Amino acid sequence: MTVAPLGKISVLAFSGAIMFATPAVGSEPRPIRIETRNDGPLAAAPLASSKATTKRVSVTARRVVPEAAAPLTANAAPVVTGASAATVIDQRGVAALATKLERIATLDDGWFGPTSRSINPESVSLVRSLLPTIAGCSHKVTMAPHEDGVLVLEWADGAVEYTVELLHNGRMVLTTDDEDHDIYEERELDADAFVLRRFIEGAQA
Amino acid sequence: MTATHEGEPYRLTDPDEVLLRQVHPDQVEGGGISKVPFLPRRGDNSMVSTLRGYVSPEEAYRRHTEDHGHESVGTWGVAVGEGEEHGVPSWDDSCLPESPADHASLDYAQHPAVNQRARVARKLRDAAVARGCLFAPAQTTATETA
Repeated sequence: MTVAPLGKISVLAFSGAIMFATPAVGSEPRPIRIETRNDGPLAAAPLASSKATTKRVSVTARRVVPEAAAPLTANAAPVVTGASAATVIDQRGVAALATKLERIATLDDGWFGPTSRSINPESVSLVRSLLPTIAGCSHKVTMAPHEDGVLVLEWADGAVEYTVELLHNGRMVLTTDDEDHDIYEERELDADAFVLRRFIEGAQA
Repeated sequence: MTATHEGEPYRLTDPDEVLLRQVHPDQVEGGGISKVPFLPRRGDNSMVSTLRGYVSPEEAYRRHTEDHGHESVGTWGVAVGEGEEHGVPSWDDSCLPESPADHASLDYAQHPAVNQRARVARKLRDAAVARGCLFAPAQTTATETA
């Protein structure tokens, strides 16, 4: 593995049209704009109205040349339904996600060790309501329980990693992480289906 | 290697020792392992639980499933040196009352930022996957789960 210093960056997270300047060593900074597919900048209006905490993250990081990672295999070919070709719902993907979600919902306290916690039923309900959106995402979204009682959704778009953590306390943390440019965004707010749907849809724009 | 430390956790120093981590069935999807098994808990206890490398991967699986009654698809491993490379030292903390025998922890305390923890978790997941599944029960092969 090759490791090279990147330097210090400053990130202002979730500020509408999100622009970053990254003083990457050996390359020109590349501004990044993240938008939802139809509704403009990522979570500009709805996030602003939520009980959210915006974090400024200052990170001294190292660039790590990507290495081979386990590829996440894609679902079966999506099924196009309805009048609009833009409405793509992977029915088999929905069923598979639903099966897994219901299994996760049955995990009791202590499911993976004496201090592991069950997943908050409200988190399960929220994700259940979004299964068609998740299955229809152009990137393979994976779902996994964490010992903290956190339900984690994650997917990748090239070098950008997206993670949703639905916390046991009814909050959720939305993050995007572009490691190549050492750009990181994080926002914690009350769990909300509308905001989460926009985050998922925006990530595939 | 490390010596006796009279009831105190001690840092592991052999970079080649492969610590053993169990993976829950719901942390595997579509042939890939989530970073979640390598993600520490939030808050102060930023540790990932493993067993020492002198325990066989099969025995680690057996203890997790039979002795403790938990589910696992198999045993994966992260070397002490791989953790050190990413600022995650390893500690033998089997002396602690709440720890099972031969327990070791990957310590993310040097990474208080959530994003750094997630990045390191991905790196350690990738290292574990590159090493391959060290033990899986008969119905689950390493290639299927890794």
